[in-house]
Amino acid sequence: MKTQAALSAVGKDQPGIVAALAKMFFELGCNLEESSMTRLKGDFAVLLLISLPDNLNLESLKTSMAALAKQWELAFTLRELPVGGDRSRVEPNAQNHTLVVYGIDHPGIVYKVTQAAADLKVNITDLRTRVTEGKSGAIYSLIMELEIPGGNAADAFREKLEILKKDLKVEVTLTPVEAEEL
Amino acid sequence: MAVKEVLTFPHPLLKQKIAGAPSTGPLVEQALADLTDTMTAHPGCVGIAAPQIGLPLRVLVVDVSWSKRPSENHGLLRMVDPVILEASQWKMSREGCLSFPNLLANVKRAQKIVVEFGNGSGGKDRISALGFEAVAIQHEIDHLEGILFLDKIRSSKDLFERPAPATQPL
Repeated sequence: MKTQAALSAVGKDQPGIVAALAKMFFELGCNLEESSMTRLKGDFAVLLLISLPDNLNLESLKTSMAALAKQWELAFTLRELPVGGDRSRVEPNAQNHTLVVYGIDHPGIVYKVTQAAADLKVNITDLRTRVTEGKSGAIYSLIMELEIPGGNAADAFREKLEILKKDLKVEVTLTPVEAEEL
Repeated sequence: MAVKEVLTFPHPLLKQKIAGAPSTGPLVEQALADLTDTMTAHPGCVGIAAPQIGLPLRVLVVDVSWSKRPSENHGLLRMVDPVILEASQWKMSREGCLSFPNLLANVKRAQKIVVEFGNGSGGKDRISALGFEAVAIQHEIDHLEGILFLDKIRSSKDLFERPAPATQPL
């Protein structure tokens, strides 16, 4: 069974970070699997899963990563994943939705919306937020991809969102994701 | 010239569905003139709807003829109470909006539409619009319904901070 590891790294954004990481993994024989990398204001954040070749252990990879992190001024964590680790459990009748929430920035938007999701066992699979300047104050945008369990959870979530829309003074759009068969 | 201030989110008029209104008369004519002047005064702007300048009217203007993206177009379009009759060839493209000066989003729109609209003089016109012109018309018609482009995002990866210089705002 191949060893798998999860790397998280963040540091000042500059050209070449991804190439330096990819070069290191390539030269060590690692396979870069699922990943998510993005710029957050002036920083660049990396989350990725890698599988290690048989001739490389986690300590050796950490040593190489520490050298690269020093050169590129990255803070990182690297941990081994349990063997047989698999995707998170998905409700069989879950339906994918996209939720868009935006309004004037104030504390509590993410907390209250995500708590409403958690209360109904709605699973968040991706979440992005943006804060941009507006004439009347900063505008906070929250976009989430969700798996909503079957039954009446979607309707119950919509009802909760309508209440939050008024309480938080935000705009809310919840849309089912419909795959197109081609 | 009457260049009007462009309202930005969260002005309540931007989220309001505009009710039917007169299709001719001095109010409509003035709105069309002010919208044209305001659009022209914003470099890169290819369309603007009445609610964006504070007018609760179902009126908009679009002109993609001097767009950075060359595409088939009808020049300046002045539309009163436009209605989309046909829409096809759906495709994602990146949009900006004067009412959200710092955001861009990927939005799915029809690349081919047939739209009917009052011409401001009492008559009705019907055109077939393609590509970027079709996208711009749909974006502006959404403003008359209180729908903003952020409401049309369908993936968490489809919202972006606008880089400088500006991408063409609609």
